Amino acid sequence: MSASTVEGHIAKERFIGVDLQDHEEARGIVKAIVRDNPEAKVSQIPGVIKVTCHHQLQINRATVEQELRHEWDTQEFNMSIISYIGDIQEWDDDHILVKWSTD
Amino acid sequence: MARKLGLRETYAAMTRGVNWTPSYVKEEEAFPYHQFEGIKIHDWDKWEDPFRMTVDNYWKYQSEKDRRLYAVLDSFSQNQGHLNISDGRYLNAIKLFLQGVTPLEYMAHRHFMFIARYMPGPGTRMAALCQSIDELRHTQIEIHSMSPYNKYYSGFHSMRKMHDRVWYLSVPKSYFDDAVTAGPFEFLTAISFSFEYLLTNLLFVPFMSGAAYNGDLPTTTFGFSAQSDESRHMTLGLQVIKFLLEQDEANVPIVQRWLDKWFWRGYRLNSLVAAMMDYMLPKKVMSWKEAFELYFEQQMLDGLFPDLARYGIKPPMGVEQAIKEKEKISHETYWALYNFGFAAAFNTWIPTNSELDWMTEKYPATFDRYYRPRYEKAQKIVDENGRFFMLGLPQLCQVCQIPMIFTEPDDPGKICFRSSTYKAEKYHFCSDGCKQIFDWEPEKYVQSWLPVHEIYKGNCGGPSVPEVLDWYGIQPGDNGEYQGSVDQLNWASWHKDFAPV
Amino acid sequence: MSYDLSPQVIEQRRLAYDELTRRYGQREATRYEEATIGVQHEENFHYRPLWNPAIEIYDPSMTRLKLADWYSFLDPRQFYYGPYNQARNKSMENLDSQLAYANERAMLDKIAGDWRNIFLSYLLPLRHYEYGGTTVMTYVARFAYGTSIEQCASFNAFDKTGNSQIITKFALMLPNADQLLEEGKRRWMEAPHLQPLRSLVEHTWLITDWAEAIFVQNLLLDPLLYTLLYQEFDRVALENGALAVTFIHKYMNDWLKDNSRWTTALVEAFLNDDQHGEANRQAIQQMLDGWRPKVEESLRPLGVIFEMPQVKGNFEASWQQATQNLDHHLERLGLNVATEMPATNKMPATLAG
Repeated sequence: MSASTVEGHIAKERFIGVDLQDHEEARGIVKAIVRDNPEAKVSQIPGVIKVTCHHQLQINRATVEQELRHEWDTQEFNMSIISYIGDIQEWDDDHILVKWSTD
Repeated sequence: MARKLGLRETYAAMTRGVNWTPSYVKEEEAFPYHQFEGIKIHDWDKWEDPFRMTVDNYWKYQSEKDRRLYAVLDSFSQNQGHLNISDGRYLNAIKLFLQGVTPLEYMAHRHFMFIARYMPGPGTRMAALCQSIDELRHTQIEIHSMSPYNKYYSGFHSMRKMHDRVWYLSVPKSYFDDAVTAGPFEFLTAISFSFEYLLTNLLFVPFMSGAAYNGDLPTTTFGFSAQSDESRHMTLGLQVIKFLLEQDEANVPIVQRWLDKWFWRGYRLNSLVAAMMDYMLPKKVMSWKEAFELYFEQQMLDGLFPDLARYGIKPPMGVEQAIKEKEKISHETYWALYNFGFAAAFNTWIPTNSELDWMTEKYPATFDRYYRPRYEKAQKIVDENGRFFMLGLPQLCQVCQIPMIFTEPDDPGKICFRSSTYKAEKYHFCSDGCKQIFDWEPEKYVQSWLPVHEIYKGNCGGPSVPEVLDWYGIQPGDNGEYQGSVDQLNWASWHKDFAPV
Repeated sequence: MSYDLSPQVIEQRRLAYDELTRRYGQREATRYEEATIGVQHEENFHYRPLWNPAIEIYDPSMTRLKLADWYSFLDPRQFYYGPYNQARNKSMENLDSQLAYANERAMLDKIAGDWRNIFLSYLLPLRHYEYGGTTVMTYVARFAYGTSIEQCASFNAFDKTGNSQIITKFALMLPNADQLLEEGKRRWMEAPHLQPLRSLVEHTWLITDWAEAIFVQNLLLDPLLYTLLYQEFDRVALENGALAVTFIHKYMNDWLKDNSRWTTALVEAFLNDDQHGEANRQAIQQMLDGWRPKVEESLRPLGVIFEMPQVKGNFEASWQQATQNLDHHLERLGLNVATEMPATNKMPATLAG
């Protein structure tokens, strides 16, 4: 079954993504995301940085730490995230992974 | 010395295994509510909570969030920040938020305590406990963020009493009352999944980006701060649904029915958001139609539903109609608010010419044909005789409690009426969706506290308009036309005195 | 756009929300007042709960006590979410630095071997006791009437989960933590000296009168248990060189002190109510008289714990201290102290194994 069978709806490309509050640390995280997810698309509305990908979006602690130049606990992502689209499938000490289950 | 544990192991040690099955009292006496809805759970340990938030980390991150938030609020007050918003009209969107949404945050706070108390699984209880106190936070930071506005503007002064009494606020109130009076799994499906995941971006992001576009610092600040908790709530919502669907196949049709009901309930509630987005923001973010296409059609229909199809879940009842209605729902709703604006605790107005042009551009198929002529006529009446209002009482939908203002899905010229007869009494609905919801549970919806009926029954302060408005707590200036209102006059004079540098 | 900050002042139209000016007259309100007073819905509920059609969504009849004004009770700590979190975060940071110090100085390694068994007899099982307390307080938070009361219960519920996790945190610093947690739970479920307590906790889950639930847990059970273990037994632990665990004891003690402030104020509000004070007094007295013997019976078997360390504690003296403290507290509130105490020379239960 595909949702595109809904009458009147024109299906578009599927994506996942995270919305971050626009502040210093988030900008570092976004740089790390872009390094680790080359297909990531970054856009901005006032106060918000939106990062989207088509298949999966992975945040790696090690890359974020390189960007921020200090230690970063993945739980600190709570201080930046304001919304997301997709399914957070992993959130451990080293990685955060957002994707859909079927892809 | 013990080895350092990872996030996953620490969280598991903290939350799992602390619960136990009582043996000195009967289990069904201690946990009496998780079975009557017919949901089957075989293994509560299959519950996954990706956020893995322990209490110590909760205190740490949340107190940091609050520290940042209250610093902004203090500075906003100290610097007369309210003068920096785009236009005085803008605040009417925020009055609607405080009156309509803030009391719902509080309802969520109380009822997540019910989930934390009565669900037997420790992971679920921990997630619900955190969400409950998050929702208390949201209630309070919203009250605190709007408090500086209350000191200078109409319509902010009496949110809770209004929420309990005023006609258009029975739309959000009945929505949440419906959820908390349902069983615990239906509540989770309604609030955690349908409200917090399926519709959350549609409900909150327009308000928050609207605030950011219109220079409303307190709302932007609490909004983003609350949204950061909200992403935990979204995770809980998706987890609830996946957990129910994975535990037993027999849960699938039950969940589908709840999804059908709560999509439609939430979507109808969102018609107020639609009106707010298209009409109340002096600086527009995006149209309702664009928001619906992005946040619902693309993110949910194209994004989420293929994941749920694995379990046999279909897009919810009424989705085709909602897609058709994206061309008209904001216009039909705002027109009703404009007409009945004498009894609302916010101001309404005729859109400016450039705003009308914006709507023509955003709604080429419908706006010039159906809606622009209304405002041109309204403007003519204003020019000739002054502002008109509909002084009669509208008929309300028995389920969503919105006046019968919506048109047939395929005919924007014809009002849609549906009805059902239950125990020899006839009940009226705005749509097939609301009629279906009634037919599923008539014994619930015959109880609805319908504001118009209650006025007729004499339960709202008296039979005359001034008596009802007084009972609502509406004070002069709260209601009616924006042009010439207390807020508009003040806004004009403050901006004359405080010349921009 | 920015504005010239001229000395011109815009006059405020309102000093505070109506709910507050109606109550306090024309004055500015505090953030606690704004966040608390009159926030709970009061009328025109749409539907009866499917899970209990006998009640309204918020229903003052969920306790047999009454207040003419439900907001005559205010939290003496003035906690709303913000200050609550700040306060708890501060205590937690303190505890964390103490535990880090204990770790650094290898204090945990120096605890004599028999302490592993002692921890298993009280501290580890008590993570379940605390969790059971969350169950009671989440009930209160849902069903108590008025935001000022339920808000305190909400924080109390969260604190109880926090206390349980703090014990877990301590256990995770010890060798073979997994085993400790598992064995701790086995003792909570099976060890004879803990069964009366577990039975009592389970029975508190069935209390439907939320005020009664608060008083059983916060006036009787927690104060007695905390005094016995975290104050009295704390001295025993110190004498035996188990320094690290005393940081946990102290945290718990400080928490109890803080938490009892709102309960004390709540009792006072009920007793001082002009209209219902006397009826409330009788009802509260009845609740306490009914529960106190059961609470005491459930705690006396903890005496075995005092026998376990090398330098033994004097349980009877500690028991006297704990019950006296309780008596004094109740007397200060103007409540009677039950005259018939359960026999103090009861046989101690067999040692946990």
